[in-house]
Order: sequence, then C-alpha cells, then structure tokens
Amino acid sequence: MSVDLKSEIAAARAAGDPSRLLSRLPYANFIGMIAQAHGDEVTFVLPFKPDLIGNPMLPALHGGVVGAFLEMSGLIALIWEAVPDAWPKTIDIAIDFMRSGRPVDTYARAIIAKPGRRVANLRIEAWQDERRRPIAAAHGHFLMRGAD
Amino acid sequence: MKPGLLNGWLAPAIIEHPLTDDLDKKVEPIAPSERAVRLSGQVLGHVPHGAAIGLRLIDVRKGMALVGVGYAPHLVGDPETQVISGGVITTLLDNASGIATMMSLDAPEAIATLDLRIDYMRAATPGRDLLARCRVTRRTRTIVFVSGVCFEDSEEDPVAMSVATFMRASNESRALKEPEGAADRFKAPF
Repeated sequence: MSVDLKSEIAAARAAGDPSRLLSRLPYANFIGMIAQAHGDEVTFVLPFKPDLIGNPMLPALHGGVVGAFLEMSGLIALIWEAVPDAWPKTIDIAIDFMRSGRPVDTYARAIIAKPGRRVANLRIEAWQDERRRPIAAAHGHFLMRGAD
Repeated sequence: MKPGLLNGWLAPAIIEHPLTDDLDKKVEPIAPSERAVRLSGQVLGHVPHGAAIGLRLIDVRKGMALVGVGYAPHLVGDPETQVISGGVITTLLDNASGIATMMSLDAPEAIATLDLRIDYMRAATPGRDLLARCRVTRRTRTIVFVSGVCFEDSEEDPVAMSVATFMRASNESRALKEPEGAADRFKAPF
C-alpha cells in the first residue's frame, strides 16, 4: 500500500498538483476536497454539495465537515511543505466557528507556524466569498513520523 | 460511493460489540435505546452529512448523547494504516456534542457551535466502529459546555476526547430571558 511518500510528494510538487496527495485520503475525496498550488501557496477548495449540509433549516454546512476540511487542509499543506517520510498524525486540533458555512464553495489555507522535527504547529483558516470574513479557523499540532 | 448508509440502524458489527458502561462497569450489547430510536429522526434525520457518513443515534438522556459511526473504507484518513479519518471523528464529536446540548434544553432552540477542541489520543482501530459519548457539563443562559469521548469499546480507552462550547438561541433572544443564576450543572448519572 505504502508507496514511498517522499517520492510521491516530489512527483506531486513537480507536477504542481497537491490534489494528487489529497487523492490518497478517502474521506477527503468523499467530501470532495481539491487543492491548488499558486506560487508557494496551496489553496484548498471544498466545492459545495448537498450532502455536506449539517443544518438544512439555515442551511449551513456541517460543523464537522468544516473542521475536517481544516484538518485535512493542514495535513496536506504540511506534507507539501515539509516532505516527511510518513504521514503526520493529528495530535490535537481546536476549531473556532465564526460564521455559519453557507451552501457555497469554501476555501482554506494553512500557515505552518512551526515546522518542528517532531511536532508541527499549524494554523488554518477557512472562508467563503470574502477572504477577510473567515467562517472558521483552527490551530493544531501534528506529529511528524519518520523524521529521525 | 453511495451515501445510503443510514438504512438499517446499526451495522451488525457494532451490535455485537459489548460496551463497557462507564458508570457501573456493566457489559451490555449496543443496540439503540427506545428513546434514541424515537428521537433519531428529530435530531439526526435532518442532517444530510450525518446520513452521508452513517451517524447513528444510540442513546440519549438529559444532557447526554451516544452516537456511533460504522467503519467504512471511504471514511479512511490514513492511507497506510486504513485508520478512520480524524475528520470523521471531528464530525462525530461535533454532532454528538450538539445533540447532547439539545438534550439539555427544556424546549427546542437553535444552537451554534462556538468552538470544538479535539485531542487524538491514539489511532482508531481499523475496521472497528466508533462511538462518541458527549455530556453537557454546564448550561448557562447563553452558553452550553460539553465534553465528549470517542472510543470503540470503553470510554477508559479513548481514541479522542473533546470539549466544545455552544451558543444558545443563536437566532433569537429567548435564552436571555431566563432568570440570572439559572445555570445548570449536569451530573452523573447520565
């Protein structure tokens, strides 16, 4: 199952396509996430589809989906940037929900605040129409494996 | 992948797993309680993403919710180990926390998640269904505090633990009319 992760990342980087890495995460595929590299930045996109709804009355995206989108965005941004030998594991993540997610496309970007050898600290923000009006933000720690 | 996982209450696998009850260490088979069956449509029936990943309400009490999700290949998050995605655990704990919050209210009210923090203690066991038990620790006029634990067999061997806060009556001012000091502390037994 495990192809060499490092060479997989290298190939994705050479092709300028971080979505190749996302395609290894079944749940990311299930919610329909994609990733685009622009310059040195990766933007993650969660195209809207009806089964991402958590509250049909508002309607609003499921908070868990938004959290999962932030977490998986962080994970892919991290391996894209840090090129580890093995998939990092989430240690913890704290998600702040600022606005309800409307039934439109959602975007996310991650900042690797500290790309540690053993633990990486990330901040991830998600927004919809307006970059300056985030719907949710997360900060989390990821365990880097195979770094030693 | 067909999002039709809600048909049938529980995957047979989950019914056969004994659940160690944290209160009296009694081992009992998991089957949705009567109340959970009765309330499921109300609290989960209108959550499309809950249906998409196959969330199932297993038990509810005042200020408590026990929710399960069946293991499925499309929910995997770690391609090397086939461990279920942290994102699925996020969704499970978020939803279960929300249901626990609803179950703490005297009348239906719109609620909004303010924040959710999850600690992942260990990888979930590949192939195993997951349960999340969430409990309201305190309810004030405006805010509900909830803690949760995600596990396969026993809460004493958690996969993940969560704390969440919810804003009450997010679309109206009714909660604010409750008298000062109306905060409730939710204690066992739940």
